[in-house]
Amino acid sequence: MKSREEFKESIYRKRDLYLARRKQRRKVAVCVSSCAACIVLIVSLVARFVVLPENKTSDATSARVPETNADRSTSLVKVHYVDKNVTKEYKSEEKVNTLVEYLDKIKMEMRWIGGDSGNIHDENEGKMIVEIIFKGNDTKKYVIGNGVIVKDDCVYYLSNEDFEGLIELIGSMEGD
Amino acid sequence: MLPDIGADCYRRYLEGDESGFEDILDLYKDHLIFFINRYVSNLSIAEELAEDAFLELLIHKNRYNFKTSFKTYLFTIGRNKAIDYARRGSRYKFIDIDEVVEKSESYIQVEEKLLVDERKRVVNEALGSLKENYRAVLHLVYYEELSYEEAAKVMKKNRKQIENLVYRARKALREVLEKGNYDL
Repeated sequence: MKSREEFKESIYRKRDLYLARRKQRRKVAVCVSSCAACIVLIVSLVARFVVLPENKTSDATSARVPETNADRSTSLVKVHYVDKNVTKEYKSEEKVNTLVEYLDKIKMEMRWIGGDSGNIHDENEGKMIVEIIFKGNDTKKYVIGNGVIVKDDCVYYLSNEDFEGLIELIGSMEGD
Repeated sequence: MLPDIGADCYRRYLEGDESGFEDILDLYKDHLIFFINRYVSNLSIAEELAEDAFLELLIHKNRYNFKTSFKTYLFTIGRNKAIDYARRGSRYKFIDIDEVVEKSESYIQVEEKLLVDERKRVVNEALGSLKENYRAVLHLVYYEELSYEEAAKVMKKNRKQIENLVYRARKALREVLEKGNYDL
């Protein structure tokens, strides 16, 4: 059995060992958390500048606004009135450009209000589906109702003014 | 209420007086080793575990609230260490046979130091054959002379449970003493 002094020394030795280990653990913890913070920073920077290069802000709303349709060659625009089950097709360059430019203008102001189009789509069903068919048969579809515009299952806010303007524009043009 | 000498020593240590800790060792070292030995039945291991229990006082300085008895607090740590040891298995090194002889001698020395009363010494022998919980509770109540409330805190039970445990332990001890022809 240890003497009193040996017993005491043994406890102090254990304490010193414990404190040294704790110090080491803290150093490791600081290193690990610093590395984790760096990784998060790098990943967020990569996501910001590589994955979404065309968006200059980090705002989620603007990140969802797509590129302009006017940059691409369009061959046809179809407008389908769901209520009336009537489809109008616009092929002439002038009409196609007018519609595409108007949609681009609306898109610049679109504010994303939700990821799931389900209910909103149902509520606004029967309004209008505008389909832009680009050369090469690539298409973009917009479901437009009063106050909302649905694209790629994402729901955006559509101002009353823009909505009325689009109805008026389409109404003023005869189909080809 | 009696002054808590252990708590005073610990307060002194926390205030920077190293001799406070040394006084705690003088007061409780042998008692704690002896108590832990009730669980592990190996003096060498009991000594190691007692060191760990005292170490807790040095590294976790803010855990004791100075409201309960210091001895109760220290013995609770000791019991936890013993139970942890039993759960983890034999983490500590094995000791060779020569060392066992030496330890046995030192155990007898501690025993003689703590069990000055012959009657207590005989009971101590009989205690060895009881269940772990019985050994511990009888040790706390009869050897360390803790109250039922204090023993309950150490054993993490309520007073009623301690009363029942002491009753059953005494009954078991009586049977052992009757069977073993102990001369009381």
